[in-house]
Amino acid sequence: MSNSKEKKQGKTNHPTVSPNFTLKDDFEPFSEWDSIFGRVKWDKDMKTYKVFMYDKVPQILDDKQAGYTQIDHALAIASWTVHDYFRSAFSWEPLGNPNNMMPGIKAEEYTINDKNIGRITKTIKAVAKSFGASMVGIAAYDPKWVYTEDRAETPIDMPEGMTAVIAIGTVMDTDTISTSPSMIQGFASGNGYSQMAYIVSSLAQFIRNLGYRAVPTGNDTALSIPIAIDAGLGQLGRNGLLTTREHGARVRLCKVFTDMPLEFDEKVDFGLTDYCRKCKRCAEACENDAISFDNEPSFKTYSPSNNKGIYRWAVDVDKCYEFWVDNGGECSTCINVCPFNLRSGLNFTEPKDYWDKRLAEQ
Amino acid sequence: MTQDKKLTKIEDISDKLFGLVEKEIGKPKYDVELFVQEYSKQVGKIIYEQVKNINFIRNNLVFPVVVKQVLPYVDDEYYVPILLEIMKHEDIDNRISFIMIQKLGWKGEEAKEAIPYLKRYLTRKDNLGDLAALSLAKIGYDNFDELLPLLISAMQKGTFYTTRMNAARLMLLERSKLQDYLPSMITALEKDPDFRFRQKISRYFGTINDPKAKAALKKTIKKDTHPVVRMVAKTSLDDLEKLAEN
Repeated sequence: MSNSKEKKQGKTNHPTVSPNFTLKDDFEPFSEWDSIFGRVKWDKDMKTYKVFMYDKVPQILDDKQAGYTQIDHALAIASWTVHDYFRSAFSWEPLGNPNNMMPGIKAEEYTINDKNIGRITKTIKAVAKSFGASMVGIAAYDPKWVYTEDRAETPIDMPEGMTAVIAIGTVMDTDTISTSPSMIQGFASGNGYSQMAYIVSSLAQFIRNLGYRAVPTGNDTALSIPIAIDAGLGQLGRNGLLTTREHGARVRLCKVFTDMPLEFDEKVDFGLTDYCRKCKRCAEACENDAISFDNEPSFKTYSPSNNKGIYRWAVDVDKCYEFWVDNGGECSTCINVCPFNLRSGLNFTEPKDYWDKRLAEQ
Repeated sequence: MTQDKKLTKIEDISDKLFGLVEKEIGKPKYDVELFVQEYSKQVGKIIYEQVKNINFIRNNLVFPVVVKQVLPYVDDEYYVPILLEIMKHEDIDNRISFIMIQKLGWKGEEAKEAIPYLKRYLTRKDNLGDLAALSLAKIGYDNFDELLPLLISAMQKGTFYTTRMNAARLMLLERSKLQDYLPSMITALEKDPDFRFRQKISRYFGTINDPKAKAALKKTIKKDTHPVVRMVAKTSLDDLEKLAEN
């Protein structure tokens, strides 16, 4: 039927990429200081050292090209507002009383036992969805995914006693993301970040009101992707992103750590690794060849921004960021072209058609 | 989906498989892909036998579901052989040909046995000829005299911008074996209507230490109509200049 090499590479003989990670001895918890947004400030060996994502925007806007106009950039930047200015959203401590409310009472610890743990777990998920989450899963707290330091090299010390992490995904806007690459698609990212600020802060307050501790986080504090995988939201794709069955990688991730007793979700395996081994659509569409063309995953890394010792298709994030800079903002092409995204999303929208469509709706 | 009882007979697996496939027609629920993963070897064998029959491939309701939800999950032992069996038919629909040629290319050297079937498409004047040339290059077909004109054609006339980007990437990868690849890339940089493709060529030129590529970048910085292309060209030119300094 086939050669022996093929047989050796058969599904059952592979180390797994996800949902169960294959880690080597040199794996260490990652420092956010080494992430692309950390390194851009300190790594002189990085090609884009001290070159920031919006540095070239003024020159790009001068041309008024569809998808790269002042209106497009204004939309993208405005979408970040809640995330960027509501910094209390990510407070590890309970929020103080706002001026327009009477002082609240001290929350008693809500009793959770074997009989009601299932119901309270469902309640947490329902509440997260009420605040706008598209998908919610819960995993046991695993310190190996917590950053050792933040982007400013400050050590991260998660409070003692955390037992669970609630992983939340919000589906990003299809119409804008399908214009990628453009400045318009930045709205999908920024809006996702602003939504995460609202969702995690509100959910954390709900948990605190039940007498438990909660640490709401966005992209900070810990690696969102492996946590989301542990919590059963999806698997790791060739493009280095969490990929869900329903929406592909078109989801923003955030999470709330807590000491509240909760039931954990099962991890999911919908065959993504096998799918990605046979599909290179994202690699071929990438604007800067940042995605691996290798048939098989490996332990290969490209820069300090890839944490070592994890079996997967690592992304050359330096190349990815380089395009972001020349593009005047984020790129979501790999998200857009993924067949799993196409299950619930568009493929490509001309940037000029995006606005025609929006305006026709008015 | 839950499976009450493990199926052991190939007939039962086949019945279940095609029952699930039928349910996916029209409004997909994506249940069949989970079933395939559970029985990936047996399903591979079933599909391998089925695709020998052209009528199975021509079934416009069932076969698209098989392509999207079954093929990606069949066991490796059967995957390339299934694609080869499909390609052996000389009268398959262009759309199916397109998908199969693309999938074979993605498998690279593992799909070497597909070379004779892909070569059949090289004389085609439509985009299948271009795509077959790309897949042959990815698989490792080394008759570059035959491939180069087709890669150039794919780069200059490919229907999709991703096809054109891929042609450029492959030409760059194989440039040591290709005579005079650069003029066609410069023409593509100057004339292609899609800025995404032009920025890609501009990026590639930053990796070629060639005076003609450098001159083309300088011209792009001055004349290209899209700012992103000019930004990338500038970055590439800076890269080349840094390279020269070192």
